[in-house]
Formats: sequence, C-alpha cells, structure tokens
Amino acid sequence: MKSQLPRKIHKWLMLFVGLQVFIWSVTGLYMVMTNIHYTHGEHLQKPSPTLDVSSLKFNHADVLKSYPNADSISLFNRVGEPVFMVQEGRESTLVNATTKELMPKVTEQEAREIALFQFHDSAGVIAKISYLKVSAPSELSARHLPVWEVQFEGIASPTFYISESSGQVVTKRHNPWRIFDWFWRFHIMDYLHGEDVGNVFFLAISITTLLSTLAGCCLVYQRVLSNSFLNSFRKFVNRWAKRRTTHVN
Amino acid sequence: MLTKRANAVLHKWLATIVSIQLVIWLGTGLYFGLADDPKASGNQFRQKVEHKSEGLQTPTLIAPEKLSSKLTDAKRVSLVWRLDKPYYLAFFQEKPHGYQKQSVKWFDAETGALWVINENYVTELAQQSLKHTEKAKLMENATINLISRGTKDIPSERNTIWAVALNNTDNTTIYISDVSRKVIAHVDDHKRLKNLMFQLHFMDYFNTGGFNNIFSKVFALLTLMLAITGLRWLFIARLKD
Repeated sequence: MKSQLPRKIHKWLMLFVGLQVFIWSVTGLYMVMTNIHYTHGEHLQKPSPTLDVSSLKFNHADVLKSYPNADSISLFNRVGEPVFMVQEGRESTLVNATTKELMPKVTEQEAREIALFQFHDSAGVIAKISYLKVSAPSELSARHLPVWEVQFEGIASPTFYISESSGQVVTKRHNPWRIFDWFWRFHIMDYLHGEDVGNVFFLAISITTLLSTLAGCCLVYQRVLSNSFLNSFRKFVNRWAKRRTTHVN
Repeated sequence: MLTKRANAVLHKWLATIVSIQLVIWLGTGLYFGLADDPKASGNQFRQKVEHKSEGLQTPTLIAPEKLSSKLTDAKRVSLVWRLDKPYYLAFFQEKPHGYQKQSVKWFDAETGALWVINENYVTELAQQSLKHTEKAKLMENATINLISRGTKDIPSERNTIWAVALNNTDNTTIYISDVSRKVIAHVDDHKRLKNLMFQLHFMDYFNTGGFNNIFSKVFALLTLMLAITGLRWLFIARLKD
C-alpha cells in the first residue's frame, strides 16, 4: 500500500519553495556552464610586455636608497616605458625608471592610454571614463579608491578600473561577470550584498526544500524504484540467467 | 507541447536521476549556511609571517642588469624579501590568480645566484607561520614533501608546493608555494571537511578545484528540467484539479 503522505508533503512544500528551486537551477546552471576564467574577464587584458633590463638607467638598488622601508620594488612596462612600483604597506608609489623621478598621479589621458594599451582588442573604443574618489560601485572594492573607471564600447560593456596612484588595472568587469554576481546573490538569497550564505531566508527555504526533496525521494522510491525499475531489473536478470542456462545446456 | 501525462513521466524519471544529487546540493548548501565555524578556515594556528623586519639594514644589491641574460623575456622583476633576505623575483608568465600556473625565477639579490628553496627554508617558514605554544615540538616530528602534481587539500593549485605535515590531533598540514615562497594555506581536518562539502556541492570528483565540470553541467541541466516540469505540474496541472 502506497502512502499518500510523501506526495502531499512534496506538493504543498514545493508550492512555497518551487520558485526558489527554479531560481537555484537557473543560476546554478549559468555558473557551471560559464568558464570561471572567462567570467573573471581574464581574456580582456593583454599579457604584460617583456622588459629589457640590460639598458636600465636606474635599478632596484637606486630606488631602495630613496625608499629604504619599501616592502617590495617591482619593475615593469607601463605603456611601453619602464617604471618602478614601490610598495610600502598598502601605499604604492610609481617611480620613472629612466629619470628616477616620482611619477605624478595618473591623469585621465594617461588612464585612457593605459586602458587602450592593455585592452585585448586593439580596435577597442572607450565609451566612457569616470573618476571615482569617494564611493565605489558594488562591483569594485572601496579599498582600491581612487580609481579611473574606463568603460569600453561593446555588448559585454567591458570596464577597467585603473588605480590613480599605481596606474595598475586593479580589477576588470564585463557583463558575464555582472550577471554571475547577480545570479550569485539570487543563489544565496542575499540580494543586497551577496556575501551572507547563512541568512535567514536561505536557511528557511533550504530546510523546507530539503524536506520537500526527501518527500520527493520517497515518491521516487515508491513509484519508480520499488515498481517498474526493480521489476525491469528483475526481468532483465531472469532473462539473462535463462539465456545463460540454455546456452550451457 | 508536453501533455500532462508526458510532463509527469518526464518529471518522475528526471527525479530518479537527480534526486540523490539534489539532496547533496541542499545538504551541503545548508552546511555552508550553518557551519560558520572559524575552525573550518584551517587557520586556528596560523599567524602572519613578516618577511621584512623593521629597521633592517639596507643590503648591498647586485644590479639586475648583471642578470640580464637570465632575465630575457621577463615581464616583471621585483625586489622582495623572504625571511629578512632580499631576492629578485622574475615573472615570465604571470596569471591573475596565484593558484594558476606561473613561470618565475628567483635570484639571491646580494650574490645573483639562482635561489632554490630547501627543507631548511620550508621548516623555518612553516614554524614562523605557527601560532602554537609547542610549535618547536610540533615541527620536530613534521614530515616535509615536495608536491608537483596537485593535492586533494588544495585541488585548484597548479604550481609546485611544499607540504609540511604536523603530527597534531587536527592533522594540520602547512602548504608553501614554490612560486611565491610564502605560506599559502594551513589545512586541518576541519578545513578538509569543508573541502569535502565543496567537492560534493561542485561534483568535483576529479579534484580540479572548480565547478566547470561535465557532471555539474549535466546534472544542473537535468535539475533545471526537473524544476520546469515540476512547476508546470504544480501550477498548471495540479492546481486546476
């Protein structure tokens, strides 16, 4: 005799949580189908150009004399010219590797040049550039401020955030990542910040869905595994055994 | 358009395939929501290692131009400190995340010699990263291994790492990257449980450290179909009855 209880539990609980289960399925499917490195926009930025250390006018030792408390001194190419980035705690300073002069903060024109130099598409066109000093959009951590927000034309709306002090692309975004971020919020049901997996909505709906799913598992057992599937399996085994016996005889 | 009967049959058979995984997804999801245990970070005995002490004397450095033949194709050359000694770190292939495959070379910044780390450096660094009253004793019984092909404890890591396994109750292992030459993780049994939950949630049965795998793709697609047939049954067919 089949109990109707699992069917009732499954039906009535799913009435409350069915929509969220659908949202979990859609958001989960998007996340697993989209390559995480593509989502992170790693293809948007060209690899750094190579350095020529043989013709340096100044080297790390010269810079260290001026900044003895530096935690690190990095030499790299910025828009074709070698620069040193001196890191002291969270502060970063740029030093021109040809003149050893302190480089001023990145201007709008320099931010444009840096963005175009590093953008993967050499035909890329800048749609908008903004200076962000006080507040950061949700896709940018406030610790990176002040930055230049350089938005390129294109359906994916790729955007580089360039530090005003270091001239480095501190992060980048494009629409697939923005969609991922929003889907993540819907997946963990933290619609404001997308950070708290232990929020009360998530826990309540998860527990209800788990109960409903367990009831669904009982239904699967009642209607599939205990009947047709096992019967079919039993028939298959019997047929196979019979054929084997005939073959041996 | 599916008939009411076909929709019900499809829902039933999809449920047969994905039901166990659905319970695993919900169970592990609840674990992530409920198990807000700081121990699960694996960092209960970890402390930050200061690689450059304050007031350290300015060293006499070899000019990187003298190493230019070894730095051909380098994209970035950094002067950094590890356990108070200066080194040049040259990047030949630099990826955005530390766990991705990087290509680097290290040179002693005072002599210009290629710097290859050994067990002494690894032991010293591991010990400095430990916040434990008996850390010297723990390190005495530690076993050190060089791992070049990934580990279950840090499945996403693609670079060579050193593992310092302590003989403590939580089976802590300290991992040191051969690329950054810093401690990258402390992994203990609490962290391993969390890793297992991630592995089950992501269906990462080949230990890639990610969720873009064939199992999760197929099951996510089937689950979406299950949800659609379920909603259709619930709101269109059942409620009409």
